[in-house]
Amino acid sequence: MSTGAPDDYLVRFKAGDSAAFDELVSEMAPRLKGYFLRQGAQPSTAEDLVQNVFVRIIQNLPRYQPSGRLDAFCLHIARNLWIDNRRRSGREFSSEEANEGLDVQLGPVESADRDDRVVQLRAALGKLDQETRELLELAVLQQLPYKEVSMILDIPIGTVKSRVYYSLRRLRDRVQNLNPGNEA
Amino acid sequence: MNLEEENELDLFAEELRSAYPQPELSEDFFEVLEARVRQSWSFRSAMQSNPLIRVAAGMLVMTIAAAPVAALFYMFGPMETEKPKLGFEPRQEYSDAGWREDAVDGDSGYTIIGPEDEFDSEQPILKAEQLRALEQASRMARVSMNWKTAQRPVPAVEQAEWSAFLAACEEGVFSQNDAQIQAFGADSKVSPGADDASRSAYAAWHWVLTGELASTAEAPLAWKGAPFLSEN
Repeated sequence: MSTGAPDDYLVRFKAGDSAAFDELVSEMAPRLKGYFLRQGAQPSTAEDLVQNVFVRIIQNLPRYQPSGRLDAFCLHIARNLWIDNRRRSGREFSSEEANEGLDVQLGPVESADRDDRVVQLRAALGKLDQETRELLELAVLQQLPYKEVSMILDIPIGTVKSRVYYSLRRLRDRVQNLNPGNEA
Repeated sequence: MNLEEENELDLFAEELRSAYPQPELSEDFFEVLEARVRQSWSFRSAMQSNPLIRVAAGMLVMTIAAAPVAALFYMFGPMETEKPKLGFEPRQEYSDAGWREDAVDGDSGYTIIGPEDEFDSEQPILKAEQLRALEQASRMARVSMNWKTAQRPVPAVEQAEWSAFLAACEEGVFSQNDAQIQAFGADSKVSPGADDASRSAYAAWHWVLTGELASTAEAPLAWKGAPFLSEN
């Protein structure tokens, strides 16, 4: 489901295949949790939001009509929930908070090694503004097609392409500048 | 964007993805999710998904609402209205407008039959036999009325003979068939030797049966007003 045309688990689930929903959760829950963590959610909040995504899917199941990739559908719900969560909390999450959630996922050795390339990449991504971080999250990390990203972010597909290109180049340059001797 | 730079960016994107391994879920994630999904069953979602539940809910609402609505109607319900009194009150004044006064013969005091009481021979619902019988009955009634109106038997004719004649008419007028009427008509022609009373009786009976008027020569003992004696 993550790269090609996904099996529509929800169609199978509506048809009575109860195992389809378990498969959907097993495949999408880690991706959604990563999405919320990278947006700045705490691990416990991230899991709570992931569960909210699936609860909302269940509640709207009677009206569900398969019209695109299921992972994009789930991520669209996740984005709306995250926006609601930010409005309720009444504050913007900083890039440091976004990395705090991710740091928890790192092993002790990884956390200790601040010079690690991975840490540099995360730090560089975390310093991007919210819109750019969200764009790269959907297009690069979640590997959604530009068309789906365009629909979720409600911007033209050409804008998505150009923004992804310039954002990646800028991020690459930023990482290279942090460690000039280590060329990618 | 050239191909080399595109490849470099693809590699960088891959490296970026590898920097974010998928996070692990907590051990009770699925248990908590299952519990929340079970709790998420809402009346709204059930209403949307199942039409039977919508019908049941509608009936439930109507049933629940019926009791308080009935109570309200009972409390503030229909205003008392004045019940109409039943009874019979005959009119004290009557109007004669539109009523027809029956004409009465001045001499005899008999009521003259109005046109509405006469038989309408143009009605096509009667058969020819029925029509002829009714016409004979009408003529019989006129003969009787004329006889009684005159209030005087013809001197030359005995009352008993006329009574016998009228009885014979009443008895036989409806039982005459065509052959008998024709035979009677032939017999009713004035014979040279017949007396005046017999000739008048035959003429009257002939008129009753056939409607043919007799002349004064054929019915010499006429009485006043007898139609079958009219020359016109």
